[in-house]
Amino acid sequence: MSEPKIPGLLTFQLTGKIAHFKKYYSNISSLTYEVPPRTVITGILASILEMPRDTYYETFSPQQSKIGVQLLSPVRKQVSCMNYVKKEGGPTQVRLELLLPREERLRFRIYCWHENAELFDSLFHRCKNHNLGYGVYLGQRAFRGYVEDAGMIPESDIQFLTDFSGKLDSLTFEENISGLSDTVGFDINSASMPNTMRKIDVGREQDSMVNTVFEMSGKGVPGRFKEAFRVRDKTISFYTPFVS
Amino acid sequence: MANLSRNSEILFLYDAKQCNPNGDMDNENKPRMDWEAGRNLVSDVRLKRYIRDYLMQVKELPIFVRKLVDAGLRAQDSLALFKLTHLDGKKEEDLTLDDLKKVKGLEEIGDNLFDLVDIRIFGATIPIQVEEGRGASSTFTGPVQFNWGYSLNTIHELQESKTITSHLQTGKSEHGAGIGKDYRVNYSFLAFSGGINANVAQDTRMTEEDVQLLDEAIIKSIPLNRTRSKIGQTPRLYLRVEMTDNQTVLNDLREFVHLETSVPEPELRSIKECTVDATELQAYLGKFDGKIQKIHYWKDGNLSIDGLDLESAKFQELSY
Repeated sequence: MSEPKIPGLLTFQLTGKIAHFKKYYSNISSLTYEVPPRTVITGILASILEMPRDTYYETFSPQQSKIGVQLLSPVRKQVSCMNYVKKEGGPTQVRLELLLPREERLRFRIYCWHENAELFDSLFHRCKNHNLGYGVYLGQRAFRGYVEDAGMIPESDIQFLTDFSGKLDSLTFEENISGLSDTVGFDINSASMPNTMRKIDVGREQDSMVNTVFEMSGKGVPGRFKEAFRVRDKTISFYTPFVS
Repeated sequence: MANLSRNSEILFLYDAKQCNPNGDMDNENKPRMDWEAGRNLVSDVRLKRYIRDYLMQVKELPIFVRKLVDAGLRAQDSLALFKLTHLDGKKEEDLTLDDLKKVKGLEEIGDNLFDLVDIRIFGATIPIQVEEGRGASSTFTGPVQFNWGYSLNTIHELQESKTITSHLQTGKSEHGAGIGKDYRVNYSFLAFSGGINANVAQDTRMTEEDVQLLDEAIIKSIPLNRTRSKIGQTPRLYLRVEMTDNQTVLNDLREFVHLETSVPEPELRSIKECTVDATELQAYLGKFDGKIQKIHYWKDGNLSIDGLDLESAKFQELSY
């Protein structure tokens, strides 16, 4: 069997001042993930392509598209109390946990591939030309996101690795880890995140989850990994396995 | 009226002197602060409230998200109120709660929903009744979105608090009285950025006239809010960069302006001690010159700003 190939990878920097990636299980308070879940990124990509709400879940399934994220700058959290109006009337107070940068801005490096070549090409050109469709948001509409430094990495610059030992620059799914190396000096974190969404009668809900592992200070995860991709000077993986 | 066809990017700067721009209820209503970075924060909701209040009270336009007079009123009663007063011509003071409850809501209003100006501008989540018990809502995303605002100057301590007493309306009690603290910033030079997405405007039917209303509301609404904690805020600069198309989106314009001060930042107390350096902003906008239709601006007479070529043909002053 020939080595798995990716024809190309779209990459861009996703930035903003504040974010809120809501943890799916937080109800009374709104807590935030430290990195955007896969569902947030597919929502961003669908918005750029001007796909209507709730129509794109199959199009961006883990089988048809691969997405990876790298945390480029350290993050921190802070809770704010918001006054909202209840549907039933009267005020309600919601604790909203903000994701803030330790440096000037939040910065995530996004990697993305889609099997539909036409869609993938359109996505690249839109990002490149600042044509962002319905807009980009970091989880909530009060937290506008920005796309910078968009580029296409050609197949010749991408190398598939199995049983890779070393530092993984991006987030990865838990099952990809054969073993972690000495993590002293690294800030390893993990979270169970929504992986896919589905439409239900009155809205939408998460359809599947993925356990992710990532490093919080931008140093990468040290260990041994079942699969990885060497992409120029970075080694990355996706939210979901490339080889199943 | 034709729907909007061009995107815009907004930069709005104002300052706050010895007041509380946005309190956090969990924290004795102290001004919202990001203490680690030393930034005063103001939520987008606070800014939208100013705009809605202006549109309703000054321009006398119907809006959906109102300060509800009675805590028992539901969100859909706001729609009922709109139907009875604006579509049926009844007087608000003549209405009772029972009148409001009789209106079925969205189905009786139909497309007149978009007569509500804040739905056209900000969108809304509107409750709808379904046959089964579970509630549902219809969501319209608004074309206009603001980031949270933050201060361009760093702040390291608040003004020393005075202790105040006040009659507070808490729940059913009509005799509530409380003792509270009155925390304020000494000086905060706040920056908001936002965008108008013409693609999204197709759904909510936002028009060019609505954009002009928005310009006016942003610039004029804050000084009209003269409550105890809000007095002392003054708009300084408003920029709306109108693109030639409904596709191009610019970056956060706040990244390209910097505050220069004649005293150390923690000691800032006045607009006279500030200059806005917009050299990088001028350069950034220059890169998009072919895609910019017009830069609508308003500037306070007391603001000192460097690097922005306000006399060029691209800039057009807003005046009221």
